[in-house]
Amino acid sequence: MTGSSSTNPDDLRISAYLDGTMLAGEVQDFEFELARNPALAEALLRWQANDRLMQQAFDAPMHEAVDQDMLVRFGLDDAPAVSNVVDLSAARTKRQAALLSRKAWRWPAVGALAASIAALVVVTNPFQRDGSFDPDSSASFQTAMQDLPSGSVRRLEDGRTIGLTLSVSAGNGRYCREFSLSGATPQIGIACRSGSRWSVEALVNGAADRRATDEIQTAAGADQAALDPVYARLMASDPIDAGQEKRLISSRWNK
Amino acid sequence: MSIKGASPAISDVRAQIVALLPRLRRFCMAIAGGADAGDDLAQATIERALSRIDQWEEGTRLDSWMYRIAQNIRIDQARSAKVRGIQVDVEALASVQGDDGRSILEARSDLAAAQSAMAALPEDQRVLVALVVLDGQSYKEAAETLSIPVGTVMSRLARARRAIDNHVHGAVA
Repeated sequence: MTGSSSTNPDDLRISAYLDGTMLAGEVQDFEFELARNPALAEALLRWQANDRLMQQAFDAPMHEAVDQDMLVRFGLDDAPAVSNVVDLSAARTKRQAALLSRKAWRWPAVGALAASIAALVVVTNPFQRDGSFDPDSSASFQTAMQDLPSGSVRRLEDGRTIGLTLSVSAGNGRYCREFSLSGATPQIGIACRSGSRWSVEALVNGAADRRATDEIQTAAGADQAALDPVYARLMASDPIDAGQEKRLISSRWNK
Repeated sequence: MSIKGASPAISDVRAQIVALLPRLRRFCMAIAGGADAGDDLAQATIERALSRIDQWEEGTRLDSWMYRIAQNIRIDQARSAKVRGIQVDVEALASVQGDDGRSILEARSDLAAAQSAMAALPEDQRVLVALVVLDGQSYKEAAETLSIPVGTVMSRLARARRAIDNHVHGAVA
């Protein structure tokens, strides 16, 4: 049972795609086939949902405080307890300072994109579901968020391209990444990693999409300042530098 | 296992184990089949790790070393009890957010199906799902943790996902 001779080749490919282990050329070929093979695409989505279900089913220990009682239970009571209480005032102060210096660390390419966007921030439900594309369940979106360094671009299933802008650490310890989506309605957004999945926290839509949503929206300027309230809510750190980001990608965003 | 360099200070290691504790508990819960059995396994793993800390090579990954210990204990337990399957503790499932009682029950049912699917996997596949799908390890890291080739990781994971899909949805394809 150590070889792959008894394993269905499609199963191997779906699994490798979900785990982001395909080479760029393989990803392109596989996505080309996905677009033409509904059964394969259906299996991919089902397996992706199974992974999420599995993560939820075993997620409880990740949310329990490591307090003194727990340390005693595991024979670690002479080790220092890990506080899961965040000093909000300190974090907010740090975040405010980061916001003030925000323009200094923006990627030039994003500035160019931003100039073309009359932005709307979807405040309530961050993702506008128009039925055509759902980043949360898109394997190529997940792979891009997981594997691409900032400044890189990759094509998604629906033909649009995603560009990774920067990475930050949120106040609750999660890692978050800002991205841009090409298309008739360019979008920029932020996704954060929970478990081993990336979930979209916010999207900023182009003006052409005003008709498409009836959710609460806040007019924003024609730049990334539209995402500032989201960064503030996340209590995001300064952008992670390229070296650390590379290490995080290598470690699959595990600390 | 070869030992290189000086033994790490026990207090440093304890602190690292505390930081690792949530992930270790999740890993143990996944391979042992329930929250209580998982915590028992995590406890045994920590006890064994601390008693053999001189075998851990400082600078290498503590999580991989401890996962390996947990897996070995689990295999020993399964052999000695001649366990062919594991019990799923549905009541011990994580609390699930829902709009009403029905959605909570449905979510519980889904999560129970996921736990049941995990429990039905062979040990060698279950540990890989725990390492890669739950813990987010790369194939290379999982291969190193288990001392198996990357190709074996790939094939076992693919078979595990096929089995999980069949268990949760029935044999679709």
